[in-house]
Amino acid sequence: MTEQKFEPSIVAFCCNWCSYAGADLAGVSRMQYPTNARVIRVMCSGRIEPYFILKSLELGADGVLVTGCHIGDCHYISGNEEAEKRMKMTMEVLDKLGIGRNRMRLEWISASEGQKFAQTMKDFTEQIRALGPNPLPKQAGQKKPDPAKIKDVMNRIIEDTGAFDCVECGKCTTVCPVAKYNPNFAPRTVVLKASEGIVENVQTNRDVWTCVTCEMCNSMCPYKVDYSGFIRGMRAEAVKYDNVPVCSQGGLMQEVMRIQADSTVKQSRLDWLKPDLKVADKGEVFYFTGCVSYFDSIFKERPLKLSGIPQAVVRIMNKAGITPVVSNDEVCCGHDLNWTGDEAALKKLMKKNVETIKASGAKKVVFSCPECLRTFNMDYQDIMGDFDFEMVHISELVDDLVKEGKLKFKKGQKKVTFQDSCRLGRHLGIYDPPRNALKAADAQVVEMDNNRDKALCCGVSAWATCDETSRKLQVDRLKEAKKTGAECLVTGCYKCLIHLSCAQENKTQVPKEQIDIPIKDLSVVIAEALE
Amino acid sequence: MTKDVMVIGGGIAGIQAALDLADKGMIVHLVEKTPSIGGRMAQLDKTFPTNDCSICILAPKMADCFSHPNTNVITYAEVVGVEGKVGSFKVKVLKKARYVDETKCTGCGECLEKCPSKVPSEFEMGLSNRKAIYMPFMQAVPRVMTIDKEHCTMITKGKCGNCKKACKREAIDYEMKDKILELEVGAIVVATGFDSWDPSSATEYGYGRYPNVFTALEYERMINAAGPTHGHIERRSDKKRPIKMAFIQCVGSRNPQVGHPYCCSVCCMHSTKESMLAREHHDDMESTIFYKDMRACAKGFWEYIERAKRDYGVRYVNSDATVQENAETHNPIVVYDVGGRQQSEEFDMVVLATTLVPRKETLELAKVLGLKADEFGFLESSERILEFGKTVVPGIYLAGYAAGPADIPESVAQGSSAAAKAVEAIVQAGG
Repeated sequence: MTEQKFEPSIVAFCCNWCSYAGADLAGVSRMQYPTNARVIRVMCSGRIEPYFILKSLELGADGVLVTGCHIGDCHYISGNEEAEKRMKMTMEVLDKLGIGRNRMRLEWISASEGQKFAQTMKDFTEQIRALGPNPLPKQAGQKKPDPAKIKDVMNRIIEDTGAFDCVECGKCTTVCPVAKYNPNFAPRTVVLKASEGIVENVQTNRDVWTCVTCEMCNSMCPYKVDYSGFIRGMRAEAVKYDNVPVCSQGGLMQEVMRIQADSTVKQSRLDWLKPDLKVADKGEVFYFTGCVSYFDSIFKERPLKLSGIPQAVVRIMNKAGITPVVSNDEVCCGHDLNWTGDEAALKKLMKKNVETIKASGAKKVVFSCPECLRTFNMDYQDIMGDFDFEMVHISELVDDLVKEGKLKFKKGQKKVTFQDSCRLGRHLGIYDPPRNALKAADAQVVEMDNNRDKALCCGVSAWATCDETSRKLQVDRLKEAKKTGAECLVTGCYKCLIHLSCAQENKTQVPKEQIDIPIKDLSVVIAEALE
Repeated sequence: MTKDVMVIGGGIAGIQAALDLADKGMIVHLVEKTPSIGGRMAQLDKTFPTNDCSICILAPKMADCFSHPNTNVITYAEVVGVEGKVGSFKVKVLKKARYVDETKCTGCGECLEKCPSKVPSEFEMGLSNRKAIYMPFMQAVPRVMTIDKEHCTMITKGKCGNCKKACKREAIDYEMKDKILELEVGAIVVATGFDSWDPSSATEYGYGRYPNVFTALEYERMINAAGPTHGHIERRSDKKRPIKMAFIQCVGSRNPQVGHPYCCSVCCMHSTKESMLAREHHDDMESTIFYKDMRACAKGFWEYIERAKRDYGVRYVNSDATVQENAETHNPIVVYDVGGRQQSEEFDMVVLATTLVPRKETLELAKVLGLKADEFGFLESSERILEFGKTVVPGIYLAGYAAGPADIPESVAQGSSAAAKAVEAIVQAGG
């Protein structure tokens, strides 16, 4: 048997004005360079989304080359500057995923630099050849589903979610945050169409992606129809027909998560760990951080300081004498993939996570992300049966530790208001622990007009469909928070923090002074108040 | 063996049962928990589908019931123990001390003027205050005062004594003690009625949070000429009269999520009545009723609704609704659904047709009597179709809302039916 020689396949993105012309020049000048690269012309290097890089790698590319005009030469003034920031971020993400930044390269090549183009191609091909093949498993082509079976699938979803119980009273519409700004959307019409047998539209219906799955409708429905479950079921079906959402960050998030599901390479996701934090490999308490480390890299440009959250959580636990297990083998919980229709990935991630937790010998798992908690508590246990470890949100842990007298806080009355995230509140029913924890940390909690099970949504869920409705919802929520006169809006969810501050950082219709309230994560606020 | 019968609950169902029994020659002990008989019907302004004045048709029955030679009306009392079986139940009745001698008090009301305390009036749904010594309402039967021991400073702190000084009949006795009466009866009719569900836990309606959101029973008191506002409809926020009224149906009813999957069976009709009354009071009133289904099934009910639309300009919108508020004007904003589109409309006042629930004491009474209650607290009939009102305990019968949602005519019919069955039981037991 002869071993086949490894020939790297490389995707090269070239900007229209400089690099592609440079490639042209290399060609007409008859310069020789390896044929491993497939060139994709884009108008500007600023057009290249981190998603493209990850998707190329996921689909089997061994390396990705990004080229553009030299800084200062961009034909769109600053497109390449944006590209530089993005590619820096992408490299960090690749490092964390264990794929490594060496599999991509960013080069500035002008139209006159044919020589440089050829040289870059040679160098990069050799670099990739030395690295060997892409470590991600090859993707098997997806089988197209049979449209004739949609009806059966939909009937099962209708049955599972009690959608036939809908009496068309319209109460869901009256509380739906999306319906408030999008007259074409109402939870009940999505269900109604399906239960009337109009199911073919699952292939084209965009309403399934309009929903923010905040479960306001579920909590209000007199007949307990599980609208969000219905939407999730429909999404799983819709993606099979390429009816996919327009994702935030161009789908980068989902890609990072999907790679975690398939990949077998070691990640490096614990870069947030500071030397003064005590953690262990085995122990009673496991701290499941969620994707915060990736979010930290992805949103490095924004003033979010996301790595402060896991640091705060470990600090709180250390203070109470707990040395939590944190694991580099932890992967994404699969929440966002599950809610964008990829159940298969959820199952793969579930298997990895449950194995990691079992191997640690933990009896209690603490979450600082409500989405992870929801996914473990509801989705994982639905599939795998009840776990023998306990699952709690950090607010519940703090509440308990305070009651046991293990945490002491500084005096200093702060006035704060709490954002009940949909997963923590309506999905899991955890309302009092975060408030108790804040009160214990000597904060005065003032309530917004809509609070607890009526809390307004942060506008986006599962990184799907961030549109003008999302922005309006965020502004509404921030206005409410500002109106309370609180010094700070405390959230118990990474996503609420990310989405709500996004509205503050960008242009909005309302004056900034109506929405400029500092937003902080619950764990950070608690950790700051520790004695 | 005894031919006496006990009726528990002095609302319209209990009154009807007591009157029927008394007319048949039985001795009836009517036990009522509050200081006066009359029940919920006494609180209503008008009754559907005839728009009769509620108290005008009820008061003569109350008076008859009290003065009938065969009746013994025991108010301010509760049943605390029952032993024995059909033909000879031994019933313990706790007669609470009312600190006023019922035989001496004439209900003149001179004590009221002197009493310094203020307590939200239960009868007026908290919209106005009563004194610690009080008569729940003008037409109360018996027409005697009662001292509420929790709020009387003479009883709680030993200070005051104004009412005793004012009473020319020397009817006040602060030393009065609760008494246990032991009665032997052959059969028992249970007609303990309902409470209005408190909608403040359903925060989507804003009750308790937005001042201009009322419950239907509050509205009934308000629109009643003898009520706290003397029949003027007033907003809580600014005491102004509303023009645009919204009535929201099924608040807490037909809602398994909050634990009441049943239809309250009256709110389609009473909201229609209330919106008609609004227009009768003022020509410019505009009412909108937000409903899930219009359940106007009894005789004349649908015609009543047609009349409301045609003659009173009542608008019906087929949608459930939730309430927001315009923070500046305190105008409630009703959010509803038309064909899957969210709509919102500002009103001056919102009236919530809250569901009706069995009184919470009914469950304790069920234990005492050995009756079964369903998951919602309604007392269960052993036979629902052909012998409605019959229970698992021979000799005990049900009537009115305690046995399940019913309107006034149904409650009256059930009262009569329970009375007839009680007589039958006594005859069969050899009484």
